[in-house]
Amino acid sequence: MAHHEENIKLENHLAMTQHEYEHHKTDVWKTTILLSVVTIVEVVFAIYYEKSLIPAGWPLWALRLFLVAASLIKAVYIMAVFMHVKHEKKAFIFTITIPFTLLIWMIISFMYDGDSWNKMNKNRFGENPHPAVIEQNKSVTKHH
Amino acid sequence: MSAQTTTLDKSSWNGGVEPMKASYGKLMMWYFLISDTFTFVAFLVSYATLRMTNSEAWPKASKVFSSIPIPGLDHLKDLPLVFVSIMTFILIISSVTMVRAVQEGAMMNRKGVIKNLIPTILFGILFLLCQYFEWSHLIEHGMTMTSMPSDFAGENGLVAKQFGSFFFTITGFHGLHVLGGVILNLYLLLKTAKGDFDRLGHYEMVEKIGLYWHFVDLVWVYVFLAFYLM
Repeated sequence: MAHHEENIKLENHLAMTQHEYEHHKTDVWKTTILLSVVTIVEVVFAIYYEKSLIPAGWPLWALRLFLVAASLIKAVYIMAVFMHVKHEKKAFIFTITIPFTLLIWMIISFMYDGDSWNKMNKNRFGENPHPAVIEQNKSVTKHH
Repeated sequence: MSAQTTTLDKSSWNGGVEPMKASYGKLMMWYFLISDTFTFVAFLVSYATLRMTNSEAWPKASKVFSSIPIPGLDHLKDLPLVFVSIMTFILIISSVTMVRAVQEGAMMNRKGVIKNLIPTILFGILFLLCQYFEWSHLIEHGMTMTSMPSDFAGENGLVAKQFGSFFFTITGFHGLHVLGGVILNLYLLLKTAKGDFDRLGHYEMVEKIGLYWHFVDLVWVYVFLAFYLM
């Protein structure tokens, strides 16, 4: 046991059995297919919406919610399988995922702030854009 | 079990056990990636916030990214998001070959690592080339850090000039990461070919640089979402 501890630096701690290796390999192919399919579905939905092929009554937030959820799924699979997080110790998983929870409030609060600015400007200037935006557009390059 | 084992202090705080079963270098690579995540999130959140203050004038992705920007193919119009989807697939495939290289490294298979590192590098370079074409196409069209062409106007007929600066800053920062990854992978290929990791007894460096490479792919998922899909 003591001997084992001394030599830990020289060991291949990534070592897998042949069985584990085959298992991880199929895991990678499955994830590749999943990432590809999710990406294709995302792109098809986004294009269909932009081209208004989806019935007009469909709310934009539903599409956006879908896109965010699909991207989150992709991120989880990349981390779990490609970045090997799935096979790490629990303490390791927590130490790298808990900091990300700080981002949840950051994203919500900043976007809420942006939306609130937009509403404030609408209250002040009606449906017209902010005067600064109109001013900016005087210098926009004409291009054909 | 010998008598020696019982004298070892087994508590986590005295180094008797490895609570994370990971090397120092791997853990530090993860901490670096977490800090880099925060940088990218700051970029993307500021993009989202400014977009929301000016959502009516924000350019539509299907208008901005509607052609194939490769010279000779740029007459193909009205193909929204097709080119950038190809770029996304290039990055996904390079991530797959990278994870295969890590697995072959774990099996101490030098040839397998080399066989998978080469396509990883080539796909990385291909991605950078695509980005070069896209950038030069947009710059030629009049979109720069400070100006926007009028045909990228949003719903209200005006065009938010922040779009250009955000686009070039964020995709540029991501592209810089890809470039860094390509250089690291070239170094890795050289070290592997020389047999340095076989002498060392493990291929952990492949895993650590692999983590960085997957992170670059992970960031692209969100750059793709923010600029092209939403």
